[in-house]
Amino acid sequence: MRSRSAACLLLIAFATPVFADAVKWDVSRTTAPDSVEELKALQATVKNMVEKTTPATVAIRYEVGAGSGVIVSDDGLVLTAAHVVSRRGNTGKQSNRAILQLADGSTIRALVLGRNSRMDSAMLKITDKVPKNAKWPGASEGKWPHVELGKSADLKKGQWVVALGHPGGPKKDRRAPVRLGQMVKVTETGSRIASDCTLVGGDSGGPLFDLNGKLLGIHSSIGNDLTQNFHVPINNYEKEWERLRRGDTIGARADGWIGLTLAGNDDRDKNSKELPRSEAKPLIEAVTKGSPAESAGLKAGDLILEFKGEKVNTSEDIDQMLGGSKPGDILLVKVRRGDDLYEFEVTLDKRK
Amino acid sequence: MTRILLIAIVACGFAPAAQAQGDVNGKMSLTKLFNDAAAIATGSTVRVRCDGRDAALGTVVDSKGYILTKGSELHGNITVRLRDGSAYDAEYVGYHEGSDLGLLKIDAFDLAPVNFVAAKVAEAGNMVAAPGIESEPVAAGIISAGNRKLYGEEGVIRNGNKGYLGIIVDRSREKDGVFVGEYTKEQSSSPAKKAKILMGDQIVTLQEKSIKKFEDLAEVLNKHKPGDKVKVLVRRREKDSDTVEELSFEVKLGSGAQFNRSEFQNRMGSQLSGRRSGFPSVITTDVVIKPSDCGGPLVDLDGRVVGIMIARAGRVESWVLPKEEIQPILADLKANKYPVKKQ
Repeated sequence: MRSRSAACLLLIAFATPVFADAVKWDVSRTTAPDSVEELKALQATVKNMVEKTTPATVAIRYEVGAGSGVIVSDDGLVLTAAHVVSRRGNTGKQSNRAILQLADGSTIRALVLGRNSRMDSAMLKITDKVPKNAKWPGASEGKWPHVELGKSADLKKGQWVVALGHPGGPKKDRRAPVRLGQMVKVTETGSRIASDCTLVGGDSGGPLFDLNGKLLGIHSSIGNDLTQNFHVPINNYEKEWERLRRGDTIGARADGWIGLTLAGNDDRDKNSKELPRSEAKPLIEAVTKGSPAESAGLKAGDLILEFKGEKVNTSEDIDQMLGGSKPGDILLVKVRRGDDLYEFEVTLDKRK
Repeated sequence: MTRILLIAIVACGFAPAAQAQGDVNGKMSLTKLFNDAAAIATGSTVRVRCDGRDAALGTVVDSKGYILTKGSELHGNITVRLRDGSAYDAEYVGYHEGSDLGLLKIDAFDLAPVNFVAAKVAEAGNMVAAPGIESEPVAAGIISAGNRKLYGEEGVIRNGNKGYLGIIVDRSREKDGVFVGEYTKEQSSSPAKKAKILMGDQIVTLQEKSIKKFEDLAEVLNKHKPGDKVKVLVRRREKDSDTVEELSFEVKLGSGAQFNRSEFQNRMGSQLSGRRSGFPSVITTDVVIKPSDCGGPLVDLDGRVVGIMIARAGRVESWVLPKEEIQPILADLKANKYPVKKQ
């Protein structure tokens, strides 16, 4: 007995200094590991955050499609991409019901709350109760597994990140596959960020994490190159949090329809000369035929100065003000046309 | 090139940059950090060449010259090059279709076989690399998901790079033969439509093979790749008359990516293995590897060999066959249970 305990003590004595000197991975680091020890530290950090974040990563079934999502509060708020929970083709009445699949394979119901289809952001709320046999921490108190929000505005190019999600839709016996990469494009303006964590159909709506397991973005789209994987930055969700939560339809699919195409575009790349909507002056590029804007008398080339009686500076200001509006709402729009100022009364309609 | 929403495909109407987006290439620089961990496995990796071209990597599984590789990449005259630069003619001993493992034999007697570890060692988050025959591995990445069986579409063996006619077979007339159904919007670029094969035409022969049912069609197309020209004989009934004529067409086959959304997305950014489905079970990695670099071992940071890299399976994944699948198949292959027909 005595000799065995002595052996144990000896082991601990030798083991301790090794742990004290162990190389740690700095999660804000923007360069590749330089040594095997650093690579091992990166591996340990990734494995730890993957175990933490996988239970909150879900698959989402909506109508005929499948995407991904992530739970962000203990009462079951879920973030995803708007196109995951929107009807294709932009027609007909949209369902607000979705089925979520948890990491353990069990399925629960959720209600779609708000959507911003221009930003490609959406929020859902789990409507089922936490199952009695659930194993995650807090389950016995009726809490859902969830992740914390990070600060996407502080992201640095080259920072190491992990993508989870369900490529190809959820597969039997497959946990959300882990993709490791670095930030390729970061932005403070709120347009899409990009990483070289590879994504494909089914990943949409899934989470991008920093190596602490904090949520940085939601997967949205891809380009041809393996470094072109685009995510909606999380601070865009935070900006519209209350509106998403109360169920507003924001952006292109807003309930109140005006029928204007404004300058600025966020779906752009380096080659585009267009400014993002948050910077572009609200110049009317086109007026849709048969739209409320046309009947009111607005014309392409008009620069909007005031909208709903408020001064506006960018196209995004108007996107924001249209969100949550209803068909039948009457708006006052002041524009500059050439050297003249005009004021129009526009009655919003239903999107056709 | 268009940016693609990850569920619905939407052409956003702009041309994304062709140039690299930045100088971020951290993942590329990980391979050299595996030089030590992969050293032993590298000594057990061979380059497999077919008719003088790199076709695959191979994994030494027996000191007496047995090598496992990706069978579907093999053709013609097979040679094997070792780490030390020596080259051998290889005998193609056996092929197991379910796993896509091909067994080669070379006249060498002191090779170092790999020691596979159990599949459960390959945990999600482990860093891994694929050794080649140089000291630096050919690719590195992470285990994305542990070993799992494949079901549904993923579990079916097919030629992922086969040629397509771009038709939908009219199911209502299945009993009478293979009739061309209506061309849908997705088939606007259909090769058959371009060749002026019409809806209602019956396909009688394809490459002189008689076509009676859908499976006959699939069998012929499986042997062809996009760009191949095939001869199609169709029977056409003239409108408002009983005249039936037989017409011959030459169709340049298209690729699955033209007609299938997920195929299209999966092919964005990298080249995929032709055979990339129907394996019994696989470990999923995010390693980006060339199809011609499949067939070799995969190692982790402790130098453990977690399996054989069997396919570049999609934009986000490359797949590894685990020990549990390899060992019984290897025993059967050595026992000559799946001999390769001499051509």
